[in-house]
Amino acid sequence: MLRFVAHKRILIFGAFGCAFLIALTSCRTAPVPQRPGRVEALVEELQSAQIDRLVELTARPFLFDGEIIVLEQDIERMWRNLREEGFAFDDAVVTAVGAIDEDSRRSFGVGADVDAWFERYAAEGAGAATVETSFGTFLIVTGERAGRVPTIAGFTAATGGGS
Amino acid sequence: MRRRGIMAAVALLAVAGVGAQEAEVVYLEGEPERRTGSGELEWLDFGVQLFPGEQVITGRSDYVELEQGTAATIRVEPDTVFAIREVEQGGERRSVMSTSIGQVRYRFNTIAGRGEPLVGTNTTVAGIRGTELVVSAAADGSSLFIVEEGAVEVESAGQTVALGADQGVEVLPGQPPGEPFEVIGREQDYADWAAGRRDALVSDPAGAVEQIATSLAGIADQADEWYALFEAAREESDAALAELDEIADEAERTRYRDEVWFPLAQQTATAALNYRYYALSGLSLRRHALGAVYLEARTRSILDPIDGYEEFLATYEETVREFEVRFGRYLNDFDR
Repeated sequence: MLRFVAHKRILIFGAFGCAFLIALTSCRTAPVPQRPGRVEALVEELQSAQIDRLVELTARPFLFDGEIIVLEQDIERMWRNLREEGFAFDDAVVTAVGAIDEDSRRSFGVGADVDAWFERYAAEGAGAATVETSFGTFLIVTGERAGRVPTIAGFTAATGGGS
Repeated sequence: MRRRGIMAAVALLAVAGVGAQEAEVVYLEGEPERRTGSGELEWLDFGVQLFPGEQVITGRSDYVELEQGTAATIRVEPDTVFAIREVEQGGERRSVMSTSIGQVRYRFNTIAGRGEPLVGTNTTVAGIRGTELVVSAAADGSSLFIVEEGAVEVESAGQTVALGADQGVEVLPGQPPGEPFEVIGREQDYADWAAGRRDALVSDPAGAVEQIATSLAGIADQADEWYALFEAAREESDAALAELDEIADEAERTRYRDEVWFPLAQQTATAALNYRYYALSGLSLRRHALGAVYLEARTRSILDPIDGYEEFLATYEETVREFEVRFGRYLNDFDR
């Protein structure tokens, strides 16, 4: 009887241990673009970084609403214009992070260019993050890492199409 | 049926092989990229051959020098998209070296081979006679040609102007070339010109989109014309191929293949090449000009809409819809 109880305890501890390890492993193996901590770090940088750093943090081709942006100078212009107009990721809160899906695709609008970008240019393991700021809610697509943080690969208003 | 397909493919390849001119990367700075014909982006490296259908994309600090044998040196400046395309003109297959956006400098050492080279932008093509010239394309779709040596004929919207040494011309999207001007005493920095064009589009983004839309409509008309010719030629070619299958006599077969079917297959290939040329030119204008106008207007309106933003947006959305209707069927998944 004593022996049976001991085995039961081992089984229970073993099951909890396995569940813990599985949870830990799945957390560790989520791609960088989908890790909440890394995405928050990216958003922090987007809020405060100089324009040159913002360009470094931006993947190309970049999806801005339904437009595919190819040139580095256009990326620079985008950030510069946004800053000049007073936009920043002020008081930004990342409210959701996950893999890109049909909903995130639809947020950028409907069209062959958006489809082409998601199929051809979104990085493997790309993430989609909803970011609430004092200027509204935005969706960013995250891509391959640039150092500790993922790059930003797409940006639109969360209501769809951005315009 | 399978043999027919193979023969058609062989004919297309035979035609495709004629006149294809590649350019080799002989020098580069920074981290320029190459966009292959299948739409893949790769880092460019020394010695890489650039083929028709491919692009060079340079960043803010990049620079690329290409050579076409001993015939031409091509310098792709920073923040530029340079493409090599092919078109059939006057029964001759020709490379068109195109500045989609940014600035490219050309030096043609000899005019060797079949016909003069063609250079241009998304909306404008120029024929060259032994020359050095600079071709620039701005964010609003405008083009600027500056001839340093030799002679150039610039064509847009069905009109042509001839330029000699130290002359230049500006071409607005959808418009014929402007008045040629003397470069001496009016030296113009590309950055100033591009900034001026950008200022113009910022002040009237809806107007800029309308100009681009006019240009796109003209390009789409050309693509439509060539596509209609392609369909007609393909139908005739298929019928001739079916006829060929019925001919038993070997000598007659050979005669019919060479004299009837092969010219029809060539016509089909030519028409396909040309409607694709116009479709890709349209896509490039849509990507680099319309996209730039949208980026500018949208980012300027992120918090407070700029004057005329609603009008701009309506015109932009209509232009995008119209683009998909008119060009979508001519483009494949790899083009975008």
